[in-house]
Amino acid sequence: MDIQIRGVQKHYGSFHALRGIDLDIASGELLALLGPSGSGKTTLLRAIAGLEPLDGGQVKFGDIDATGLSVQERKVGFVFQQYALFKHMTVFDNIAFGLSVRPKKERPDTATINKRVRELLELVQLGGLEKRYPAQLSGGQKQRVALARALAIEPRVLLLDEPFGALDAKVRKDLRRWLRSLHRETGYTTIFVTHDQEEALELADRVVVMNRGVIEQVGTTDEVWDAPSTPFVYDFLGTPNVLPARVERGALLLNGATATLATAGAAPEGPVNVYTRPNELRVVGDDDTAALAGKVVETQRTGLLLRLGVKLLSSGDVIEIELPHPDPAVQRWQIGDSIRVRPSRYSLFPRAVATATEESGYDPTLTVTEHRERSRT
Amino acid sequence: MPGLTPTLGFTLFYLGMIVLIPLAGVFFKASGLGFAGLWKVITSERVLAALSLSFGAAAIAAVLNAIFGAIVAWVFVRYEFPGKRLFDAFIDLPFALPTAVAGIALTALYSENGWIGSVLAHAGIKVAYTPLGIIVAMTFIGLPFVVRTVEPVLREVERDLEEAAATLGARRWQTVLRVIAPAVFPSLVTGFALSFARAVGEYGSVIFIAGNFPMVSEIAPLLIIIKLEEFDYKGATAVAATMLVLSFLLLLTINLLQAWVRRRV
Repeated sequence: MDIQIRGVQKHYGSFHALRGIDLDIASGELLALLGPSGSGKTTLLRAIAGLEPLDGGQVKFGDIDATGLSVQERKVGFVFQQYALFKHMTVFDNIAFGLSVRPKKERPDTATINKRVRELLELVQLGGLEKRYPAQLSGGQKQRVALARALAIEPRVLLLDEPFGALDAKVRKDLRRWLRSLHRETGYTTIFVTHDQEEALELADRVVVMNRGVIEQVGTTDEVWDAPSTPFVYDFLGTPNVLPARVERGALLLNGATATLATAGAAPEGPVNVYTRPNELRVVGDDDTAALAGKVVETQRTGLLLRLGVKLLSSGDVIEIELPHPDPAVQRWQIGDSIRVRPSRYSLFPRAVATATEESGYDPTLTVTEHRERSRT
Repeated sequence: MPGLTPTLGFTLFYLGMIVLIPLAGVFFKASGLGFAGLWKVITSERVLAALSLSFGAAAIAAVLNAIFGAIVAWVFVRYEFPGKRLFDAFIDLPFALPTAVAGIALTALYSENGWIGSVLAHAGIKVAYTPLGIIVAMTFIGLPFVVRTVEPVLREVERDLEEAAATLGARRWQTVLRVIAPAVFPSLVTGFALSFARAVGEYGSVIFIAGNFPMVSEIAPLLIIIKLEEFDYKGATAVAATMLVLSFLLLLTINLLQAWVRRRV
């Protein structure tokens, strides 16, 4: 089922957690909400589930306006970060819970519930463990029970909050692959929250990058990697070099006119920041007049990459370059060597003259959960 | 395991000195009566009445405490209200108050010319100097046991669980009944057992409000004192030994019940 989100607003006390979110999710899509803690990604997920009452805006499931519906009426499958399994119930009873609490006339008979639970156990590859209690399961198994429990009610959408957050790296990788194939098999519209960019980009059809209650960018893995639309997205997906520059009459002046690069498309006139990733910088010869000259101040070999710290002669800033290594074409760089580099790809963003001050009531040392708790009391 | 011998040795020595030897003394003294004599003492009408009053009233008080203690714990965990910390401190008062003070205060309140007693007297209910008064005193001293055992467990029940139940379509009463109650139940049983044990052994706060009429409102611990004052040491220890065995059996049963519940959690 497709989901439409329009102008969704949420405050916790004076903390503005969601600032007018608009988002369309196609039926059957696997979507990631990606962002740092405090970005509002979990709040948005909970708002879709109806676990957070909204201060404004609308959530629609297909043609159904879900805004006024209770959590129970929304019929969403929600998988919690810490699984939230019922500890006193067996795996079987956990999965059957959603069916067994239905009002009498809608409740399937025992045989149907049995059959359904067994199908789900097979689907999540936990056949034979139905009599176990959650305490007797591994983290990955608990996660799959939580998923089966959510699927039992045949939800309109499947929502997962940091689904792999509490698992170790190996299990996480396996579960990720498995979830991808499960999604292909079942076709549920699925939204998951993560702060792990790798997870989001590997798993999702589209990624929603969020920051401080707004959506920074929505796009496929390729789109957010190749064309980050804001400095935040650049920063969040890797560690770009930021070079102050100016655009004058359509030309980019880098480092006080020492280097001129063709501007990509229509660039804003005036002060800008050039964002370029360490692997997008190329070492060039002395004849390249648009290059940035500098000195190597740091070399570090990490696996198949060589990282160089380069101190620019013009500004004294240190930028980082990544070169493939070993590479016969690459000379053995030593600290103190002169080097000339040039960005092969970059993006320009207008440079704010003064940064906006923090909005009142926003305490960056508090997590969203703490804001949520505070506003409850 | 290094240090096992000294620590285990100390534990057993301590347990022996403080608990086991005095208890053994009770049985040793009581055994002086012989089986027939013992049986005669504990089946005498007055002793039977006192024992059933002590255990019966304690059971009723513990049930009341389990119900209302659970509600109090719920309120403390889930709600914020002005003066919460003050109320929180009040809960522990029965722990700290000298029991005689509690007894005198309760008697003053519930006697026929006391604040509460006079109102109840109009309704024809007599509290002080009746078994009802004993239940009131036992409930008073037992409440913190339930509140303080249930509270931390209830705090541990994650909101996630309730939200998970709601997303699965469970209505509120289903969540309370099927998700929260089973999680809290073992601690409630513990609180019940502690409150019950305390009430059975309670002396100071009860004897003032009980009136202590033989066969009506005379509790077993008081009967032990009476027998001691009559220099009937063997009779006194016979009653004491009976209370001990009964208490032990009850606590054992409760513990087994709890172990059975825990195994499923």
